[in-house]
Amino acid sequence: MEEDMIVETRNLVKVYKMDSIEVRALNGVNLHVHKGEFVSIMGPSGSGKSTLLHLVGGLDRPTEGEVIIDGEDIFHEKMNLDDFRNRKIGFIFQLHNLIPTLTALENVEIPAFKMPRNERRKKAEEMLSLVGLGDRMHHKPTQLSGGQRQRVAIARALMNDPSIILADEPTGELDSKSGAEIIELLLSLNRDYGKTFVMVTHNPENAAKTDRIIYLRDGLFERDEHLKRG
Amino acid sequence: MTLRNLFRRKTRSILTIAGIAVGIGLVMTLLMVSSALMSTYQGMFEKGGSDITVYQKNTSDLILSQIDEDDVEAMRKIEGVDKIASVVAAIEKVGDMPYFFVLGLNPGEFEIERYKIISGRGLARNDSRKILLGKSASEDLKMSVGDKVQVFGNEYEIVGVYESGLPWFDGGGVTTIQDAQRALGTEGKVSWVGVKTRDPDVTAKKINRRIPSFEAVRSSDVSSKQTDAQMLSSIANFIIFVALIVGGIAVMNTMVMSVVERTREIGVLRALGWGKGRVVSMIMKESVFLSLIGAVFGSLLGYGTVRFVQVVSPVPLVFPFSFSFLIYALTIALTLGLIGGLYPAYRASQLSPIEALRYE
Repeated sequence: MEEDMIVETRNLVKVYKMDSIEVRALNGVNLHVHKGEFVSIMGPSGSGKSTLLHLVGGLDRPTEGEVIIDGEDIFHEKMNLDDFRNRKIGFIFQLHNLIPTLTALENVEIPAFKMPRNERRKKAEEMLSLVGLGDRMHHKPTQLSGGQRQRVAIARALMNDPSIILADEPTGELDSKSGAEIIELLLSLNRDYGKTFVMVTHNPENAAKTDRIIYLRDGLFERDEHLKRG
Repeated sequence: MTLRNLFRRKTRSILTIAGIAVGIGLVMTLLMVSSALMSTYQGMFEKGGSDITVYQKNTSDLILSQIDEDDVEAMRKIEGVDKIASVVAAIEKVGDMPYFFVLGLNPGEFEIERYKIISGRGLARNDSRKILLGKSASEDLKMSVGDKVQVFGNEYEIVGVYESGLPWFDGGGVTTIQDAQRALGTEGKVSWVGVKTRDPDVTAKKINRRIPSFEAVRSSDVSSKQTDAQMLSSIANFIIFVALIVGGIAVMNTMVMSVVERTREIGVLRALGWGKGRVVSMIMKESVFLSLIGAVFGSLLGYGTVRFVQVVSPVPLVFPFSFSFLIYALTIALTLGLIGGLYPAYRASQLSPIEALRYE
């Protein structure tokens, strides 16, 4: 594995069994992402995009193959996947998935349960300021717009300084203006803070702003386009 | 977070808390009534100064017990028996008091010493148709020294008013044993006998062996051997058991529904790195908290109920309310919370993050 390679998958296969039918969501995928890259993954529905993201994030287990994140084989038998996700992965979902009874600040604090309370609070405030919500910390999700809720989710994803941030259709539920703002935010976090992103998207305009676009079809890479100097 | 999660569905949580409160209130009421009864029995026998109480074998209630005075005299000669005090007991309706407790005692025996005279005089050995009235009875009947009261169909002159500290006795009267025996037609018989002895266990065994028709027990154990007290205790225990089951099911139902509604949320928490243990802990905390809130209201409900029972009861009752009851209520609540939360917590912890996230 190269020194700055942060994500590597080796012959990744995922087969779903639905009653007597087998569905091969991934057919042997070899993904390489370098530190600081912003990679988009595109493809038609059922191509395996989200499955790939979930396996890289340790949310699901592969049928075959390996996933190496920052030098760690995440499906090694001794690996605690919960702990791995907490340390290494930041998730941004299509639907913000914020806890409705908690404020923005409390939502952002959720992943940092190992941090001392004061430190956790301070960091959460910083993250919310970073995403432009310094004045909305004590608002509940119902008091925020769709774009603002997604910003809270981004701040939450950044809390533990993850090795990579996995975004599954982060603008899918937003209007075009809010969606554009969110993409710009993610790009600025990549550009200014060196955060590594792997983003699943259906939006070619958003994908075009990133470093690389990987096209998936039928569980295999169809092509891999480098758009910027890697 | 715990409280906020609990009150996401206010109506459901409030109804569950109300159910737990009623259950615990019922449990507390039963416990306090049972305890009051036991406490009254204990006061009757143990606090009268006797070490052993002797009564008719196989009697379900001491009021029904009848033992021969000749056997009592024989018992007096048994080694270890230091002093004895005979008692004739009956319950009469007097005036508006349906449960007027009448005791026939021998002046000069130790049993009568607990009846502290607060006005008038005590009983004398040769008194006939004379009665001492308990303080509460005196107030309820609006009678005092010098008045005449109808008991056992006869007129008795009130020669003194006493206070014993026991509501049942203070709501009744004391006359001589002979007067009581004549009125009840039980000459030669007494209800029970109190015995003073240095070694209660040994002396009780001797009495039981020498006089087979007697049941001699430590005065502190009399209450637990009373059939009606035992029956009340058994019924109370059964109801407590049922209340726990029902309460546990109510908590479990609420928590299961809560977990199902938050499936996606739990998926997010797991995705963010919450381990199964943290998820279990969250659900269990909510479950226990729900039950504890119910326990607080249940304790208040139980306390209010026994106070109400005290007011309306024709029998004078003293409820020994102490913090041990509150601790018991909280312990029941904790048990309910733990039992009720166990399955939902397990269910929540077993959710695969990815399946939970996909849940709609």
